[in-house]
Amino acid sequence: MASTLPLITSRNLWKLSPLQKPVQSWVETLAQVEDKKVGLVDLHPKIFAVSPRLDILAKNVYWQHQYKKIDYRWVPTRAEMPGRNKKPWQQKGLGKARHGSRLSPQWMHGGVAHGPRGPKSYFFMEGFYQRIAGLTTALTVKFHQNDLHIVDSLDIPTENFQYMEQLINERFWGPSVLFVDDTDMMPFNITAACSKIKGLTLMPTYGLNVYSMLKHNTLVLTTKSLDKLEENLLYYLHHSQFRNSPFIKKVA
Amino acid sequence: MIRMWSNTFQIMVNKPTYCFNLTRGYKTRGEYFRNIGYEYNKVYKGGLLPRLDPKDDSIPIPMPIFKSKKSWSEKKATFGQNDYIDILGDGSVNPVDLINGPKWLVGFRGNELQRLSRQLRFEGSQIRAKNSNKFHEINKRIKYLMWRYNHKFGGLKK
Amino acid sequence: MHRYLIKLNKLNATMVNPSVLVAYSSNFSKLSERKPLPSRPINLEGHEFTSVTESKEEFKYVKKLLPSLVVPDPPEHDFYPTPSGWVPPNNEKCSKFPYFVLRTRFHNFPIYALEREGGSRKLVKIKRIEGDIWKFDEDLRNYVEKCIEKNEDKKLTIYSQVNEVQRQVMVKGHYQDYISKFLIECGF
Repeated sequence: MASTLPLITSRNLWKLSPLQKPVQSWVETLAQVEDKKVGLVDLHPKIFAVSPRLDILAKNVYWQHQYKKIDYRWVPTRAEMPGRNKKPWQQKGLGKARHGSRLSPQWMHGGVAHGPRGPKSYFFMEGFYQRIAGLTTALTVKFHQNDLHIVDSLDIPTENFQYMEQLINERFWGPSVLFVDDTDMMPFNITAACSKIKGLTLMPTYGLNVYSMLKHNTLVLTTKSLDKLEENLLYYLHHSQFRNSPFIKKVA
Repeated sequence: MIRMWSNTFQIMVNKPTYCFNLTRGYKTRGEYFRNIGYEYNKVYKGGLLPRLDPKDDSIPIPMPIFKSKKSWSEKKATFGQNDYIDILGDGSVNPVDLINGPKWLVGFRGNELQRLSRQLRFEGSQIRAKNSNKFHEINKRIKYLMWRYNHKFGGLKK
Repeated sequence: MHRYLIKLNKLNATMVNPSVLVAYSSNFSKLSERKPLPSRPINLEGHEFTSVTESKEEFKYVKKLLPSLVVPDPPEHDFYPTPSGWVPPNNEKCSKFPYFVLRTRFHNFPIYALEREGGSRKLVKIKRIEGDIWKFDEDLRNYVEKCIEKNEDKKLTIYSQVNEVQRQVMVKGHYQDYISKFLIECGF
């Protein structure tokens, strides 16, 4: 599987404006432990050379945490406590404080006045273009900090996890690596190896997200996933859907 | 009763006796239990330390056992996966469709009144059919919140 | 905290205040088919219908009418500027400057005229500036001041604000015509 000649030399970039030059990156292989380059590839500047918006990155991470959150805490009020709500003793004459029930919030074991009430959701949607900007800034930041590596495919010669360890140590790829491929089904060897080491995760392209990119030290993309990524992101950066929305079918 | 003799004076001491097969016919003097449930060995009796010796494993300290955070378990390593599936995928799936939870809360956010009324719209007939008190309680709460939000000063608290 | 009335029927709550978030409606779903509306049974006996023929060759006339989902590249014209005043970006002129301004997806300049505070405060926002923003700001101000001297015989200083993080420049006053001339001259 080890290839010595440069295989990949060019790539078609879609919707490249004449004012911007593309950014370049090496293409590597996982077929051997040593770091051998297999090609040089252009990357689209609207995705990999964006002026980084760290505030949008932070907003995306916050959104990812919050929008799925459902808080199931529930505490009964005095009206929902089990038992009768009887007046404990007469109003006057005993010298005791006046009370109407033993379940009011000032009593021990009484209902809570302003406690957490029922399943509550923290749902909201970040703006569509804010999420796209989050993805592009995360990719530029990873690229420019030498944490992005492009690989021709995720094929490995052995299923031995020590092979992966050596590979990662050789190339200084950090304790945690995120492998991204275009398909759901990954080759057997890499899944077997990565399952035994903590910090290595495999993902398809549609699973890529800002939180995972920031959590893992390095990002490893295959060329197929790169193509898919660029295609989708550039489509949404150049689509005219809102102008044509009356003519496009919506879900009923 | 045990008599302890000393040079200066005579002391009568009632020492606690632990007799498990004790049968009492008539109450006799001296045979009674003092400080039931009191644990004698918890107080440190010797040396300079005013507290328990941390090296002594026999005495348990009220502190939780250290559990390291599993930051690379499968759940945590893949947190946030598929959140951008409407951008990076077909466009047919939305991240809202991936939320698990009560049906009336998926893709919805509101204050308590809105949540309860929505719950009734989704599940009201089922809750009522179960003959539980819950239906009655939810309606009570809705009435109360209506009064509070519309007539009480500073009514809508998050 | 403001109070607002909430109209409520027991099992059918509606809010008067529309600013509160309600259920998320997805506009970005794929072009999936609309669910069929419930239809009444129709008696088709005794009606005469015209015949239907399928033709896949004539669909090309329909395709011309359908909107394209992606903004197409502009066609090549013989003379620039076009009758509407549109000019394409010129690569030769751009390379001289240490900055450049990207076009929007509809091939226009990212110049937006704003009116704040009830229309009394007039601003022009220029977005998508890459490179040396401070130099761009200086050159812009000088050019617009010269334009105002020529056309309106006034000597004004132009005030602008640079937003480095968001790659924007805000100029005080509605000078979008002069600013667009500046960008055309630079060849962006």
